[in-house]
Amino acid sequence: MILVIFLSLLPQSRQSLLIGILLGGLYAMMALGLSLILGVLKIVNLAYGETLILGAYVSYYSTQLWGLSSLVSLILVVPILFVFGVFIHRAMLTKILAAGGEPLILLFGLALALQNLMMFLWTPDARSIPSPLTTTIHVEDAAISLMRVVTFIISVLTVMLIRFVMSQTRFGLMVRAAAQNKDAAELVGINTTRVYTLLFGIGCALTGFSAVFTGILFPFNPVSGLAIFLKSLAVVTLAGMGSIGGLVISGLVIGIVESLGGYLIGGGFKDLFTYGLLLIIIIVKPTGFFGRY
Amino acid sequence: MPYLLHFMIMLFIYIVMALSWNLISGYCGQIALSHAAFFGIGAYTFALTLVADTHPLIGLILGGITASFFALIISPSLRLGKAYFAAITLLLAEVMRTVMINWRASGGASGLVLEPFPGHTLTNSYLGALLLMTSTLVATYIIVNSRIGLGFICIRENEYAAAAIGIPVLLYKVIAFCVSGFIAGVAGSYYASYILYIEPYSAFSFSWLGSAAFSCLIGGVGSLIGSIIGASIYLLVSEMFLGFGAFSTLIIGILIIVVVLFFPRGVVGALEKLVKRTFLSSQTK
Repeated sequence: MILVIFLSLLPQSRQSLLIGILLGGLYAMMALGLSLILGVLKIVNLAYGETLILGAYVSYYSTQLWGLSSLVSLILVVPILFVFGVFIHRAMLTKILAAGGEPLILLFGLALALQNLMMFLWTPDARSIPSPLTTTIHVEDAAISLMRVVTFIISVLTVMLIRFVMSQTRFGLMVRAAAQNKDAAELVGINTTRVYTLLFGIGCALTGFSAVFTGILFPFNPVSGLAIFLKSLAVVTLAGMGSIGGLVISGLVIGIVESLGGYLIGGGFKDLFTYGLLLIIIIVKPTGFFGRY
Repeated sequence: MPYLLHFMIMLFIYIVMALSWNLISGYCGQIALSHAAFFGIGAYTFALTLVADTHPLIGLILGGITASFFALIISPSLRLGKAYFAAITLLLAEVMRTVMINWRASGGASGLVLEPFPGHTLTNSYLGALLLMTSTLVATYIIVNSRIGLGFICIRENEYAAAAIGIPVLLYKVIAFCVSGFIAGVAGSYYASYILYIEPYSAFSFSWLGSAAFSCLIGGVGSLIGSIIGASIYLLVSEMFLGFGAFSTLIIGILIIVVVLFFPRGVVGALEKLVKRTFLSSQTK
């Protein structure tokens, strides 16, 4: 904490700090899908990173092959990933859960298959989705790309929107009921299977939404999925299961820690700070700080 | 003939990996996804000790010890339930990969080439691998048929019941995980001692984990013979697709999904069921 305050006073690290804050917003949105799936379905989606990268690739190729603007590709990516999520849940997860088995290996197999499918189809070369905004704005002596700021705003708005939907709408109510007590929810007439499937689909759709922005800001390749999964898991774990608003705060924390860590140690190792934080949180306070259940 | 020996050596290494994974994930029920990391840790430990002019046998054992040390470090996550444990094991895998790619001392992304040590011939490698596999098989057999092994199975079936009858659940889980890590580390060390070249992408490749998981799933989790059969099937399948490119790992991933969905007791288990149903039709199930 003291370190953070100290570093934020240094002019050289202020750029890193600012970038960390802006990225933190994206991380919160990135973690949204994982949080929903974990909180409601109680499944850690091991294939989450690969799902996100898949969305990024769909967006990338829609910009390359059909010349779509990256923002327009959102219209393509989100529904595709929604259908993908619904399919995965209906075809695979419901079977496993009905048989009382362990979805983990299934998800691992899925992650392995997706990762290598993408590697096979689209080569391990790094890709980057072209950014629709290229201006850079200057805040004091730091230079930030406008895209990062816009991404931050969109991310926070998205998280807030989902939180609103979950807490204020009828659908959100059904989802929370199904999450808290499956049998009781069914007793009052909620079709939990359909709710779960829809939620999984929505989780994947949100993943696709954030995938476009992630793909714009970061170069990605088929192997990037695992790092993204772990980072999102760190955000979700820090925030606590079931907490959506907390995602923003924990996203910011992770973003700042990662950025300042990268400033201290050097780019290649900056993910290690996030992983270390995840490990510490798991050991010290696995229920997170804002957890609801 | 040399190709056959190479094939057998790889088969033995795969069998050892499958047995190691089976210990923690098959018998004990805690799905661990870090065995690729253990393998790589073993490989790199061996390589670095060889560079430092130590005897290769010491390198082998040291590889196992280092891997089980890392297993020990992340073993607190065994408290948290299978999902988080699986995620943390993935974390170990990713951390190892990141560090090894960026670390100069271990050769960075281009890896290390090792000098062949005296006595390194194809035949000796084969005999060594055979010895490795046999001793691992014997050791695993002893473990799973011991009281601890029974405890593992109890933990897998119902953790709370196991704790209720006095089994020290966390301790047993940690033991299973660390022993499993040791075996996988030794496998990785042996691989390095045979191939004499390591680099981060292949040493930490998920295919080492995928092959182990696939072998155990095909053979039926919790069956030692099944792991051997499974590893053989895996090797045949991957040789069919000519080596370990992305396409063959893709097939493995798809097969894992198929096996989990349709053959929960493994192909061996499914065959058992089929035989029972055909010949013992008076009994249901």
